[in-house]
Amino acid sequence: MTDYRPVLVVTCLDDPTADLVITELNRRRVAVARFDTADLPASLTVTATVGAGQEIQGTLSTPTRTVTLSAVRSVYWRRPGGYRFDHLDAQDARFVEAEARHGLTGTLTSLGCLYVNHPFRVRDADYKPAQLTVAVGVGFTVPATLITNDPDEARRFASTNAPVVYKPLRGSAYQVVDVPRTIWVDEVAPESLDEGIAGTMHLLQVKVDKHADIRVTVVGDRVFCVRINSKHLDWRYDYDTHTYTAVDPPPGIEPALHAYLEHFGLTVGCFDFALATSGEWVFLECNPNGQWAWMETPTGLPMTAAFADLLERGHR
Amino acid sequence: MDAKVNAIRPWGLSRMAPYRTILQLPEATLLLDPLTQTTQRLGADGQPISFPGHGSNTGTEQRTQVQTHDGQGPSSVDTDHSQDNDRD
Repeated sequence: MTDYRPVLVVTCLDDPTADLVITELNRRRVAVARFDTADLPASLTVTATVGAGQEIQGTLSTPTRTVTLSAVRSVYWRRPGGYRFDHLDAQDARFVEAEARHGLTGTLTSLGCLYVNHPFRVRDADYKPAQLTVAVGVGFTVPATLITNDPDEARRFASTNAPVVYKPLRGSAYQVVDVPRTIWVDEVAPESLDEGIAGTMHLLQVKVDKHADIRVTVVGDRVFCVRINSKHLDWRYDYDTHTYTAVDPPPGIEPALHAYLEHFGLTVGCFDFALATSGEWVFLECNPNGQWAWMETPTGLPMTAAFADLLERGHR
Repeated sequence: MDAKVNAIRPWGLSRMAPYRTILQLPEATLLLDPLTQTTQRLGADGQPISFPGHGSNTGTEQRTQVQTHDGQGPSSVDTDHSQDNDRD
């Protein structure tokens, strides 16, 4: 089957949010080709040509779709499984994986169409020090934050600014005896900051005195703000007791959201703010590849449709 | 910094904590529907199964998942805990 101006959806099979957006695109009769970079080489064949006066063009074939690369309308880059060549020894796999990554990801990121989001822009925007720096630059209020591996500086910051919280700069999958663990944002007792601070970089931040949390999902030119009432400092700890309310942003927030995304070259972003007891929205972070679909039902906000609008339109 | 620093267990690791609830997912075979390009989940009997909530701690090798859905009944959408780290 050849698709006319398809949306490419690059993600793993286990991605219910992508399924929602694809279902909406299907309803609109927008062609979709879905695959995972991990499908290479088993079930993905790509040929691209470039040069001799031509920009990149070619074809991508999955078991069920053949796509002309120059006809791609937009790319929805969700969470592909990466590249795996487990049947090779370590250095062979390293070489082959790098070839796959630079060849396939390199091609898919060079199509010159709309990306939701471009994975390299996501990578750049994923660094918390960069997020906080840009947030200050676009005018958001940002809590005082320390990034250090110096135990004395950490203790000084925590004592001077108490209460402070610790947040992982990035986080990663972690298990103890096959049981997943993670780090919840929580207060830090200054005396607990021992010499282990020297062992890697750590991020400490002044705790915001807050009424609630605000989750802002920006999808192209649409802005969806949801107030999350949670009894926990870190609302991700327990979704069962949340209440969600659609709210309007205070003046000044919306232009700053767009300026932030513009800075990083992102088309969508999921922002976390604390709603301070002063009423101010305090920037905490922006996940450039965040989740949003679970808020759609309780708020009625048309976020799936907004993603489909953006991907269908093929421009911001 | 001296060599001893490399022997220190970084403090951040001491903050690792369990999730509130862990959801044991049924074994499922995931298939891409050729027509819709959405994912079908089939149980051991080959019948479609519903997917009770979906955390985003999606190590591909693990079938134990973190329950982070919104409590609105059977949910099939991702919530926002830090997602799969296998980024490209």
